[in-house]
Amino acid sequence: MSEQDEPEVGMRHLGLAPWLQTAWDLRAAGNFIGGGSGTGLLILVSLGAFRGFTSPILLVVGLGLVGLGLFSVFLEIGRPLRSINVLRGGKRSWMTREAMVAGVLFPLGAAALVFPDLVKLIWIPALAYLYCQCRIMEAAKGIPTWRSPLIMPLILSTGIAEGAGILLLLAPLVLDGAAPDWVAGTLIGAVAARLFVWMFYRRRMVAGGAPVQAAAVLVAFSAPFTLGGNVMPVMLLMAAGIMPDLALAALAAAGLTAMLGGWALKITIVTKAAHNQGFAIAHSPARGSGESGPGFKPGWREIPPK
Amino acid sequence: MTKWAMTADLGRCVGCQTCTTACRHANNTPPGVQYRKVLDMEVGVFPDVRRVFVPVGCMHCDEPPCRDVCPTTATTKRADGMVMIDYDICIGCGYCIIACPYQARYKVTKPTFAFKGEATDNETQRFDERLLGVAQKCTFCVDRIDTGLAKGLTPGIDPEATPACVNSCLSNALQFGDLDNPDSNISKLLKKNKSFRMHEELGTGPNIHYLWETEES
Repeated sequence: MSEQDEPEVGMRHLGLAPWLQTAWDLRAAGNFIGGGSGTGLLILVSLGAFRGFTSPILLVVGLGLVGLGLFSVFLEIGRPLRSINVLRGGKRSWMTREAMVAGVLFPLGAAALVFPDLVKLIWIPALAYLYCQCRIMEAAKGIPTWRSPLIMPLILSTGIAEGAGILLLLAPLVLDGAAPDWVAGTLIGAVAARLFVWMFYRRRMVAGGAPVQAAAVLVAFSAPFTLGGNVMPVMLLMAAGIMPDLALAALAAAGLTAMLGGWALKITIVTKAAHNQGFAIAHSPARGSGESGPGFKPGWREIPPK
Repeated sequence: MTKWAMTADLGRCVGCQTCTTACRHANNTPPGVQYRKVLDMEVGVFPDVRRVFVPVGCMHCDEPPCRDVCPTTATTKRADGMVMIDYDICIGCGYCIIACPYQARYKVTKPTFAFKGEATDNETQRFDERLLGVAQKCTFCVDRIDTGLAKGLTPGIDPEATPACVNSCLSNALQFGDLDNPDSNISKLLKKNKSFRMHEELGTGPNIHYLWETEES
């Protein structure tokens, strides 16, 4: 039988060097996109309420994004009719904890639509949900680009950046006028943090923290992400400050690029730079009367011993 | 206590893949699913090149990342060290597949057979629908071990109570036994020979020990 004839070739043993995982695809990335953007938006809407900012529509959008993310990952599981079992693993699994937090977030969000003062509480489960998503990635020991400790600040900062981006993007449609000034300030801060962490993250992965192929994906992604997803929004925000006539459009465009930058980042990390650990031996064996030899770690950059 | 573990003598393994075949026969795994497989590595730079055959599979880790991420508690670790999957609880989210740094887990969503869409009599008879859409992996042939123990047999010594891959190994490269028993076959092997474990730096505590310098060498 030829390889083309075999079903599900994606799960075949693909060799010695790390290969791209196929267990989680765009549907899983959708959970990180919806969950990150949605909770980022909810955190800002909730904290904005302390400054008198209210928008039930943005609240619904935030909850909707989180819901879409969960639905997206629901489409990926092999036995969806048993999905309630996801609540059993709270002792150890961050995926369970994410689901449990969702069980608080949605009722609280719905209640906040009726009792607006409750909006001020939503940032708590929203931040907890975002934190769970960070830990879900970090706990994936089989994927070197995910288990990096830097994945947590990266996912957190991009979540806030995406949320601020969506707020700026939708402000002309759902608010009376532009978004409050603090939203643009938040976007600049979040984008700067995201870029700062990204530089360290990429550097660490390229320096041997990830398989060569995964590092190459990150390197190729770095320039468009840095310029399009981080520099561009800041420049558009500056343009909005300089040209008041174009401010509304420039703010929306800044929000859009920051949001799309975050989405592209997640799609890249979850589905493209997600090579597994591969295999390695610490020593080659001695055969017969021969000598033993060095180890072997195919697909990884060789780091000279210090 | 008992702690089941395996040793693989890299100096003895000849890469015949008999263990792979025995495992597939014992577990009726579909195409693409190999609980036990033997990697063929070419190590070094010409002219100092050597070929190494490395049996791999589920390492039944001391701290299994697959168990830690499992949102359903389908993946558990028994008191004797074996990492198991409850197919009736698993939802097939694939998180454990990603968490395993040994690429030891699989998920099959539709029935697949060796000869395209047509199942052989053996495949038909042994087809287990519970395995569709959920995670699956090496069990150290848990049924053989538990049944053997119930009969008073010793896993790793008595073939009836020993994993199929170990039984089939024609060079005795694979051995199975109780790591907590200092007099067991593998405890003696590990005491006498130099060994390493794969990706030990990840802190998983894998329980396949690779012998790389033995008394024979």
